[in-house]
Amino acid sequence: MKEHMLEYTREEISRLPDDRLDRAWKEFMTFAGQRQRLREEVQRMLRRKSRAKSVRVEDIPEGGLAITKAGEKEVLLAKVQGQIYAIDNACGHSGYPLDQGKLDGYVVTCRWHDAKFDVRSGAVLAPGRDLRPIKRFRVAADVDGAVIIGEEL
Amino acid sequence: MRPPARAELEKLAFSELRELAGELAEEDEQIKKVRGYFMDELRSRIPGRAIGLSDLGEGQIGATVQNGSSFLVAKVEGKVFALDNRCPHRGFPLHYQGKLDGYTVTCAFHAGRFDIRTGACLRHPADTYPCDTFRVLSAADGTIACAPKKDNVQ
Repeated sequence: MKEHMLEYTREEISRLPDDRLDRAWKEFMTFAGQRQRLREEVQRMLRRKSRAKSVRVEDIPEGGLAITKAGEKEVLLAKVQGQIYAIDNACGHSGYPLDQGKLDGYVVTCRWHDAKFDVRSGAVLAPGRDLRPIKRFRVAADVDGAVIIGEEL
Repeated sequence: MRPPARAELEKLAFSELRELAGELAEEDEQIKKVRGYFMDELRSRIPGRAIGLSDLGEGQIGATVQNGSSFLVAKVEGKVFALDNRCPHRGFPLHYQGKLDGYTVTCAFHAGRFDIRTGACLRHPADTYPCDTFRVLSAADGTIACAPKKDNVQ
């Protein structure tokens, strides 16, 4: 196992034999998963330790966002048509604070990876970076029967 | 950077946590870079043109590299479909441990599902969760107070 996962170069990876590549990828993903959990833990800790702010309804402009605390939780407040909605101030994708994002109607978009949530229900509307359909290609075969990829459909 | 244990994180002041969060965000850029190297390698390590139409069994997926581009190929009901071998979510090579069920290919990275006929996303990748919602109450002094809803999953 490589000691410093982040020191891999493109060339080094291209020289790994097949079975080593599979193993190295698995190890790398284990490492990346640990780091993701650490980032999320740090974000959780930041939200827990942030100072409580008191917010009045009239402090939030129409279509605006604010944050407050509920116990140790940081809560995102969104004002839409005079009504205040409150959801966890942690993006369900990365855990980053949603108050840094943008509100459009009832939809808050995370600043980091564009995940979208409905402020009324907390539901995921888009999981981050809009997923475009995958490009499709025409398929043909040459005289030997090998697959030839044709033009984009 | 050595990852601090949870108990150590607990002891950090808010400003130190902010600093650590910044360092981790920078490190994440490097993680993404190396992850990209791996994905490119997994995508390209397929013998070019090795796949014949008859090699590909019914309900099977494979990959082929042609003119430097990697393609996912899938055979369903005798017809072969070809897609860009790159999940639109994080760019993962779809043929690598991906699964085909009917016309649906599932990416091995975050289980996003796509229709091989149209390339359309059928199910979003499973790494984004709904946010908890709170009841909004108004305190006597006019400030907003929030209480968790019972149905929030912890």
